Amino acid sequence: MFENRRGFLLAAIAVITLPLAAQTTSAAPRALRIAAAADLQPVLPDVLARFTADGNIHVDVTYQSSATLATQIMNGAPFDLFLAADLSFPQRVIAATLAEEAQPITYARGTLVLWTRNDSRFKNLSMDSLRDPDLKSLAVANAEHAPYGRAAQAALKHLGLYQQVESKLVIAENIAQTAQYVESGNAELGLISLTSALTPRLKVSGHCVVVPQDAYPPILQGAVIVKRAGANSADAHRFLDFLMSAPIQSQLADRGLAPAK
Amino acid sequence: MDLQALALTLRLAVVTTALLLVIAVPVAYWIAFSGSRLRALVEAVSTLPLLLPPTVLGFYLLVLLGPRTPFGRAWIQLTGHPLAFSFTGLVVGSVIYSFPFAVQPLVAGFSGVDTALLEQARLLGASRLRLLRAVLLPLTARSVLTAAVLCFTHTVGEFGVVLMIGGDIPGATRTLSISIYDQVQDFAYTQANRTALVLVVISVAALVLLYSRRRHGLSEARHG
Amino acid sequence: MVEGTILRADVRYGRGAFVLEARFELRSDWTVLFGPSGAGKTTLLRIVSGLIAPDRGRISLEQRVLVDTDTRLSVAPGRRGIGFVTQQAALFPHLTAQANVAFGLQSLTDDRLEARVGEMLQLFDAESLADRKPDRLSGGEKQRVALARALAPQPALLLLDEPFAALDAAARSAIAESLRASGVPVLYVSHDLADAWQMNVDAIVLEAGRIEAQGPARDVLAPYRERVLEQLGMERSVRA
Repeated sequence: MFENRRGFLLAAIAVITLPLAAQTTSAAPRALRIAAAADLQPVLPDVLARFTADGNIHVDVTYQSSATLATQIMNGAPFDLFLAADLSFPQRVIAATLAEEAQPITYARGTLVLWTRNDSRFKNLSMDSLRDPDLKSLAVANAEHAPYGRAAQAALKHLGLYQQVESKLVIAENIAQTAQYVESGNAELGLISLTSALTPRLKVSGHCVVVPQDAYPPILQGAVIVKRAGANSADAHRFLDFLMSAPIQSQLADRGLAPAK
Repeated sequence: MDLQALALTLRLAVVTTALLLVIAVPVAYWIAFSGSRLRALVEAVSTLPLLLPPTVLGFYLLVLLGPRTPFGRAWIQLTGHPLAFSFTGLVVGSVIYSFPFAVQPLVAGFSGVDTALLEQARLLGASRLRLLRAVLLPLTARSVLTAAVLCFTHTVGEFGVVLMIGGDIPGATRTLSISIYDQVQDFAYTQANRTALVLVVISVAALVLLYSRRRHGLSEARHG
Repeated sequence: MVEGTILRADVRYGRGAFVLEARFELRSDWTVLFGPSGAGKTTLLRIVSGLIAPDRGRISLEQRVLVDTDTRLSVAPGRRGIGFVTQQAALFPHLTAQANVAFGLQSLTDDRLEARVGEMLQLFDAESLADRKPDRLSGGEKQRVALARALAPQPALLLLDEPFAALDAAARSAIAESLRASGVPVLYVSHDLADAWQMNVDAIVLEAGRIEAQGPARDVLAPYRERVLEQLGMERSVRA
């Protein structure tokens, strides 16, 4: 928090004084702008805190659904790095010739969990809870454009449960909203991300079981460096390398994002 | 074109508008005519939905209507399912969301009526209900129409609240605006454009109806 | 002709700069309430009609108590049997003359309602105006319809707050005739001393919220004789 505030202050000062001191800006911190998928919101701030610890760089992050971010980038939004929740959205940016890479860089793998509140009637939560004929509602993310929604749908089909629960599905726009539906108790069960389930709030209020990994295609999260005039490509590369480094990958794993490889 | 979403949107807008008029008329009457000290507070609270971003409003409704509040629990006891993710839940959300759009024009209309007329109605023995039906509402027909059209179009275009409490269920909570959002998220721009066009046509038609009626009404008043 | 006391009122209203303290009785079927502007004439009529409540006091109309602040009794304006017409006729603009007159007759059957409306319009020579809305009526026509509307429910008392101020003398006397024919007692606010003087009715003089005098107009208005003569003179010169 303090770091961010100081960073913000420095950035604000930099923005104000930059035009005045165009010749002598070497002392001001450099700025990096990241477009990050909403499911990174519980994870990324700590990573960034370590990355910006030396005070030489300031990072702005915009959290949105990957679809929205991809649209914004393809319409000229000034981002330097795109951390998506799957591979398809970075591929769209590549197809629009707005990425440095030819293939998205897989930086993490998401895990799907079945979550319920501690005060719900599902005390012994398991995948079989989905077979409960009295199940009223199951929150999932939108399968058309939310990667965890796609995984949830695939898993339900793989486990032969889809037909049974189809009429009970409550569809949220993204994985964060899915967590809200089930955390607020409006939906009885929810297929959410492990990163959401491991946030302090949900850790206290509920419990989860991991959906078998072989039930759905891996949720590979991909990144691309945005190619545009004035992009801070050097720092984008630096941050991506930092993200892929062993200590950070293990930090991500603690928060629910498995290493990419 | 998602016909089911279109039908649902129109149904939601009609039900919401009808309910809002029934609720807002007595509230506006009270705001316009009661000398109560609470009046300013009630008027301020009735404006609150304008202040809150729709998704924030939707989030609070999700929590409020959910099983973690006494009201939500009572509802679930009564009906067996939570208010969220149902058409009824959307109606509740829409009524709250569009409440200021119903109350404000009515308060303005009621306040503009000559008090001498209201006094005559009382002197001639009119009950409050008759005063409303036979004097106030006919004299403020344009305000009522304005309130109705604003509620209708506001509900047709409603997004944030529906997104939060709807659950995107075809035929129950997937409205046109959600449908457009989904289409945009899926990069289905052609479909999205078509749906947006329908949305715009409905809203413009409603507004044209309102404004042509209003001008007519004004010229009538001028002749008098 | 009415016998005995029609209205008995003893009320107090207001505090600070304006206090109305009035105790009076109406015995004649035509009483002028007279006084300078700001004396509280309109306030007094509004209290009697029930549009405002007195802070203290009692009002009774033909033996029936309408207001008694001691027992917290206050009959609603529409149940007092009192009609009230003001200078701004206040006709309902969306209703025809005949629908305006019918407004206070909700309890009647259709036949009797129609008959009563017809009777009232006839009394005020307004049958030809029946289907017109107020925006197509002249000032005098509006007042006639307003009077017909106020008298339609057969009130026991009619309050008039300068309803003829904008009318000429001929129109005024025609309306006065119709009112007398109706037989309903009238309490009539006026600035016009000459009217009261000439008609020699009862008068009440209200000044600064207090009743200064009460009785036959020529006795009560004697102190104002100079102004009466002045007004009479002015009117003659206008006529000439």
